[in-house]
Amino acid sequence: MRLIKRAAVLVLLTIAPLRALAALPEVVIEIRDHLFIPQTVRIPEGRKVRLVFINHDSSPEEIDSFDLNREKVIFGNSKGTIFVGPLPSGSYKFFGELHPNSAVGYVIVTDEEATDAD
Amino acid sequence: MLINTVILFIRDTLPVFLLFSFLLAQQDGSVRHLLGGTVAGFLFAVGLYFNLSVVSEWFEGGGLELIKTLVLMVMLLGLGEFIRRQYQGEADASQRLSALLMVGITFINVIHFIIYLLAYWTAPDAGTSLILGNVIGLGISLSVGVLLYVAVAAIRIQLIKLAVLTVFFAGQIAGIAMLLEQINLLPNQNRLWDTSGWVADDSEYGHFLNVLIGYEATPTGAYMLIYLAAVLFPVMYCYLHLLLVGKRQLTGELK
Repeated sequence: MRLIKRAAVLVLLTIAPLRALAALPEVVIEIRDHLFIPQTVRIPEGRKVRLVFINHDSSPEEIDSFDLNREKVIFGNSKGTIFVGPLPSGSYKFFGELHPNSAVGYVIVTDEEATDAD
Repeated sequence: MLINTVILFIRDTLPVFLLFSFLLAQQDGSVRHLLGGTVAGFLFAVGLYFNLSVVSEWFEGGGLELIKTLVLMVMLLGLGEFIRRQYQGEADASQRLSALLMVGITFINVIHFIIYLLAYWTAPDAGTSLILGNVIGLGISLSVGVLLYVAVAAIRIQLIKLAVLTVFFAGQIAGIAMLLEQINLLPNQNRLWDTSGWVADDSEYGHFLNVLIGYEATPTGAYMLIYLAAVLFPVMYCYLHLLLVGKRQLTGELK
């Protein structure tokens, strides 16, 4: 009986972080013709958010942000996820390192209730 | 494309040139071993590139981050042993370790430049810009590397030479925090401070200081913790090694 209880606790401890992960707010940003769509996304203040980048171009893009301290390669016709936050209110720039002139976007962290995060 | 190639070349290869200089300036630094390590690291990176689309899908999209983390941790162990051998007068036995460190730093940094280079090699009119950008980038990185070598080689006290190498390494190792935060394997982290008003991360000084000593304008607690742990690790490693070897000598296991 004790063994079953311990196993149950172990399973719960394993599942709990996965449930928390699933509950994180998510924002989808598409990459088309080396442009971020939408270019600006709003996320809630003080919460961890999952940013999902979907690259519709055939060439790769490297998402880079000095403000967010993030760097991730998204291959052509694939997607990738970056977790950001919790962040204080403000504007955080990110850009496509392989196309820095066209691929520029902003994460706006706001305390307003209406954001782009689902 | 020319300017972008220069910037990316410098950003992705400068850590390789700096570590080369740091290691060459140490006692019994061997160009042959360091070059061998660099070439091996480059070949590993090319191998990874051709499997990257698969590897990056591992662990829910965190495959590349976890591989880089693993490489950095192996490098930290290698650094501990390298510094121990240097400090205890076994410098000639540290050359293979210096090659190992070069393999690691080349592998994790150059992969990003290979992605750029191979993805745009076939683009129209890209050839000239890419070649010229690489030549200019190589010239700048080489110049910085030579200057750093001259500066470090001029240091007479070996302990200070090893200390500057450790600080450089700590900056690289602390990147583990960002890699794990990015794929949500570290709990929520708040920023400890913000010095971007003095030196911004995206400024020239910010770039250089980031590569040289791991400067971050807005570090998280995990970043600073790993940074400090990486600075202290070689000291702890040497101390533990001394304790263990001393104990074995006392019990007669070692003569």
